[in-house]
Amino acid sequence: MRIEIQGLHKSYQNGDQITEVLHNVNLRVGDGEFVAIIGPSGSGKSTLMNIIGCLDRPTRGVYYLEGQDTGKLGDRRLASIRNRHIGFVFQSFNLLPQYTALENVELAGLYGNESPKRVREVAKKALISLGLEDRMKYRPNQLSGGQKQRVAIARAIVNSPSIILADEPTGSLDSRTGRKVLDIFKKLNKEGRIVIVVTHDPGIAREASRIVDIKDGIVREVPNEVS
Amino acid sequence: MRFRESFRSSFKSLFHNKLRSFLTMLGIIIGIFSVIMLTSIGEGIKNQVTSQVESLGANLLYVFPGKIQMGPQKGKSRLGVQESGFGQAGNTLTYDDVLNLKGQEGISAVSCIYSGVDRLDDLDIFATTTGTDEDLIRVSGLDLRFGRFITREERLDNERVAVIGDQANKELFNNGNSVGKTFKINGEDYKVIGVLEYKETENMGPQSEDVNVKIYLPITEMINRKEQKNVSQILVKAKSAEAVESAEKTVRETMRKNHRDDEFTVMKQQDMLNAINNILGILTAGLGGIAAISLLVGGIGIMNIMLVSVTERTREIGVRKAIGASRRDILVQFLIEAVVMSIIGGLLGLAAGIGGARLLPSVLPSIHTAISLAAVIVALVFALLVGVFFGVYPASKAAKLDPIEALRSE
Ligand SMILES: Nc1ncnc2c1ncn2[C@@H]1O[C@H](COP(=O)(O)OP(=O)(O)OP(=O)(O)O)[C@@H](O)[C@H]1O
Ligand SMILES: [Mg+2]
Repeated sequence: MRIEIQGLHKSYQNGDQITEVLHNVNLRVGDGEFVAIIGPSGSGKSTLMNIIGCLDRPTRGVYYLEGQDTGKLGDRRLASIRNRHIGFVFQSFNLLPQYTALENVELAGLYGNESPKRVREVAKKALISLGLEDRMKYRPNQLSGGQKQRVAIARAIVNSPSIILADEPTGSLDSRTGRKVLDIFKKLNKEGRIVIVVTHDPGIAREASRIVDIKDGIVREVPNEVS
Repeated sequence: MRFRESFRSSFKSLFHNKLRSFLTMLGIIIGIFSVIMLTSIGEGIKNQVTSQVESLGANLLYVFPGKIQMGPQKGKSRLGVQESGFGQAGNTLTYDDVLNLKGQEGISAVSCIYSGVDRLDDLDIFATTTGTDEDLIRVSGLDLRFGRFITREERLDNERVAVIGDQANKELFNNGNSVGKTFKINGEDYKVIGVLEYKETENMGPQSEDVNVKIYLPITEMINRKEQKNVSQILVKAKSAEAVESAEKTVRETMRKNHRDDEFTVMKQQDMLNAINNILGILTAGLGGIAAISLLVGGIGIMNIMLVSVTERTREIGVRKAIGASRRDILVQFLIEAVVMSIIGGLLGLAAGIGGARLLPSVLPSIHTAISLAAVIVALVFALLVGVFFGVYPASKAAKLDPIEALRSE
C-alpha cells in the first residue's frame, strides 16, 4: 500500500468564517513504514488522520491510495477500503456498548462480507493475540481502559489491513500498558503493515521510523535521531 | 454485510431496548388488533344476516305496501329508501290480494302477516298479535313443538284458535304441552292448537321479530273485529329458485289488477340480501378504515422512535461506518429494525385480534364474529408497508450521516 498526499488543504466553515486547518500538506508513506505524527493540540493531527482513513475528504488537493484518487471513489468503495485496507484505532475506543468484546471485533469482519463462522475464528485469534482470551464475553463497560484499547486494536486488525491508523492510542493508558500497546504496533509493523500513530509521547515517537510534525497546519518531516 | 447479519444486528438493537421496542410496537399491535376485531365483527354480522335470510329459502318473494326504492334515489333528495306511502299509512294491501295470488302459475304458497294489538286478560297486558293463514308455515321456517298450525277451515270459520311461541307459552301456561288449553283475548276464550319450538332470537334481517313471543291467530278472525283491514306484508313462495323471476312477474301482474304501481313493492330474497350486504360491506369497510387510522398512528410512532434512535445512536453509526459499513448497510439495518417492529407488532396484534374475535361471542353472545382471511392478509401487508414507509426516512437519515460528524457527536 502506498499513501500519497499532494497539496492537501482542509478547512472548516463556521457560519461565514472559514478556518483552514491544514495548509498544503504533502506526504508519502510506503509499505513497512512506522510514522509518528506529533504536534501541539489543535494543530490538525486528527484531521489528517481522518482524511488518511477515508473518513473525511480534503477540501483541496488529492489523496492517492495505491495510486487511486480517493476523491473519485463512491461511498461503497470508500466503505470497503475502510473495511479491508484500513484499521482505525480511536483515542476514545469507540466500541459499541451493547456488544461484547468478541462481537465488537466480529462486526468489522462481518461488514467485510465474510462468513460468520470464519469471522468468529479470526476475531477470537485477534483477541487472543492481544491477551484477551478471558474477556471475550465482556461488554465494554466491564473492561478496563487498557483492555478496551486492546479490543479496539483487535477490531482494527481483524481484517488484516495494510494500514493501521492510531490516534493517540496510549493517551489514556499508564506507561506500562502504553508500552504493551506500542509493542503490538511494532509487531504489526514488522509484518509489513503501514502504522501511523498520532502521539504526544516522545518515547513512542522515538520508536517510529519517521516522525512528522504538524504545527499550525503545516507538516514538516523531523529527522529521527534513532534511525 | 450479509443480510442475515444485518438482521441479527437489528434484532440485537431492538432487544437491547426491550421496553422501548415493545412500546413502539404497541401502536401497531393495537392497530392490527382493532382492524381484525372490527372487520370480524362486521363480517360476523354479514354472515349471520346472510344465513338468516337464506334460511328462509331462496325462492321467497315479499310484497310490501307502498313503493320502496332500492338503490339511488331519482328525485332531488338522495336520502332515504322510500318515496311514498311506505308503511301502514296508505297501505292498500288486503287479504283478497293474498287469495288472488294463491294458486297462480309458478307459485307454490302464499301467506301474509297482519299485525294488531290485543289485550291478554290472563296477563293483564296488551300484546302484539299476528293474523295469518294456513300457508304461513309453508312459506316461513316455523317449527312446531306441539300440535299443529292454523287450518284453512279455521280461517274460513273465523275460529278463535291460536298458535303461540315459546315465550308466550311460558308466560301463559308455565311451559309444557298447552295444546287444548285456552286463554283470554279481549274477554274471549281462544284455544291453543299449536306451540312453536324455541328459536334463537333473530335480531337482524327481514324477520326481525322475536318469534318466541308470537301469538298467531286466523287472519279473518282478526280482520273481522278490527277496523284496520290491511295486511302489512305478503309472503309468496315460488315453486323453485329458478321460478322466482317468473313468479315475480306473475305477482306484479296480479297485484296491478287491483293496485297502482306505487301501492306495492315486490322484493326478492336476493334483492334484500344485496341491499343488506351493501350496507354491511360499507359498515365493515368503515370500521376497518377507522382501525387503519390507528395503524397509521402506530406507524408514526415507529418513525418517531426511529428518529430518536438515529439521533441517539449517531456515534454508533459513525463507528460502524469507520469500520466499513456502507450507506446501504446502515440503511438496511435501520429499515430492518422498523420493519421487524411493525411485523412483530402486526403478528402480536393479529394473535390478539384473532383471540379477541374468538372470545368476544362468549362474552357478548349476541355478537357473532367471523375472521376473514382477506382482512388478515390486508392487515399484515399494511403493517409491513407501514414499517417500510415510516422506516425509510429515519433509515436514510442514518445512512446519510457523515462518518466524521457522527463520530464527533457526544
Ligand atoms: N468540524 C469542525 N468544525 C470546525 N473546526 C474544526 C472541526 N473539526 C476540527 N476543527 C478544528 O480543527 C483544528 C484541528 O483539530 P484536530 O482535531 O485535528 O486537532 P488535533 O491536532 O488532533 O488536536 P489534539 O491533539 O488535541 O487531538 C482545531 O482547531 C479544531 O477546532
Ligand atoms: Mg486529535
